[in-house]
Amino acid sequence: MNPIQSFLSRAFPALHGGALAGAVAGCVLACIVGVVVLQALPGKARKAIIAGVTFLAGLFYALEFFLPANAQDENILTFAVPTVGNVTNVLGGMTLGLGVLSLIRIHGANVVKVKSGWENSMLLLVSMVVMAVAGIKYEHTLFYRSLFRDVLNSFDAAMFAVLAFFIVSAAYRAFRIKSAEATLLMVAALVVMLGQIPIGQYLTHWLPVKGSYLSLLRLDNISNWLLTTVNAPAQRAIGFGLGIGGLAIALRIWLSLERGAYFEAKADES
Amino acid sequence: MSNLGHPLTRINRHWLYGALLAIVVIGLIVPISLPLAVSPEATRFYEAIESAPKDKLVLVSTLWSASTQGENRPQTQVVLKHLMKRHLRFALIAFGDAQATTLAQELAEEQAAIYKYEYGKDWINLGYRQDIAGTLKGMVRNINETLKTDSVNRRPLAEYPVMAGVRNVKDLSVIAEFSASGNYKSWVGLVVGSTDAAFCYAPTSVMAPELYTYLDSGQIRGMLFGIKGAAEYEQMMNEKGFTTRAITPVSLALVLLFVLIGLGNYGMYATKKMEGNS
Repeated sequence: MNPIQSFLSRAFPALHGGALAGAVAGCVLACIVGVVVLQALPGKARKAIIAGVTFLAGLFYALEFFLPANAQDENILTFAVPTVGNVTNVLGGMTLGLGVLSLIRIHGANVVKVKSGWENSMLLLVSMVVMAVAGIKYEHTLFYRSLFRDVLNSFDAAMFAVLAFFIVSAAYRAFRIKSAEATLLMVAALVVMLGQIPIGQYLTHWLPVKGSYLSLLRLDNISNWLLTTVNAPAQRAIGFGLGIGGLAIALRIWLSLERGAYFEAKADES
Repeated sequence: MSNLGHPLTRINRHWLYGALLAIVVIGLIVPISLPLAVSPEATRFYEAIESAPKDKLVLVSTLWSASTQGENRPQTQVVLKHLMKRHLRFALIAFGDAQATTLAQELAEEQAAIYKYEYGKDWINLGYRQDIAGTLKGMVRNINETLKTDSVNRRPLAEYPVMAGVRNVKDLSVIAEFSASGNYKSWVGLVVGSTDAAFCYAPTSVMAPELYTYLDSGQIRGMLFGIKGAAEYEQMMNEKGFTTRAITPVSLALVLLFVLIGLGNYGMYATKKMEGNS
């Protein structure tokens, strides 16, 4: 046990029963007070606090990665990685709660003020409450399974399936061969798609699978060659670009250099 | 030709929708039995499971909801079947969409009833986690400490025989992810370098092309290319289930797509010619 770990163990011993419930309640209260204090602070002070917390949070993983490790591949911060992982999951859960609050606020106002389309807002709110109650209180009942499997899943699948119809319609209307590049794209797409389906593969199934130059003419082999030899390098190049861009964005977010219209406006207000 | 060209560029979209619907329904009712060439990446996925040692755990990660279940469900089903046929113990985990854990649980329960798999002894559900990066980094160090309890009974993982001898990702033989999104980057970036476990990926068809660069490097051992990959896997298992049947409507829909693209382009050239003559 390293010094940081032993200090944390002494400062925050494992709690059970009532003590644990009290600690959780205390944490929730502290969070609420923290949010209220943040809201009351001037924009610039709030921005400084958020930037500091963001930097410290990012610093943990950076230090854990870069600090020298021992023979067990661990350093002074490694012990905290699972706990920090759990904290990020809790934070993610809280963002879901924020989303729910936002939906209630916007659609609740629509219903109360009887705005245009208030019936849809009402339906959304009722559905949300029914699904939440069913999931929390009646998870192992037919009621929940029916709502989840028969209603929600069916809607979800149907929504996505509708895309197939739009794709067919869009491909017919928009896929026009007007240039050499479009022709190349069309031919490559045709070969790759034919190589992926039994009907396409059947067209050249009489050619040897391997061991002969003729096998190179099989549609499935041409399709595989296009995917592995032509597509993969292109994807790699795109991946390099995305990786460098992602690194730049990550640094900007970590150091709070990223500018957001809402954030800047709030900071300028004070 | 001039009379033919113009109407071909103006086929009412309802006819197109009708043609697609008819072809999918006919394809499901009357499957066409044609041989399907098994791709090298599907073969490597199958071999990774086939050669997995029985003393190690297989981690099955799911990140799909009902929207992509047309492809991801058969993929997950066929691999779970293979795991159970080989009597390999496995753990489910879900990211990205909260539906994923329930849908995977249902699938596993279906197969477990057939293969007499016992929950807690032969398989377990580790549940849904919202943040993949933080969770994976924790799992690299300690799975029990990161995930703590299962999602079915909410009991500590250490109490389950299926988790015996499993400390971190080094104790896994295969990591198989079934996904509707680009989650593989988190696995490749945070986990693959820390374990000898074979990382296999089963995405939807539309995502598959971007994985070839990682297949090329060996960071992803094997891949199932959408529902076609699932049909290939079924073929390697010498089975003919729903997936093998479902490949017929997929094939016919793509043929319809080619025909419509051809008609649209023929119509365009016919129109141009008509305009040139007038």
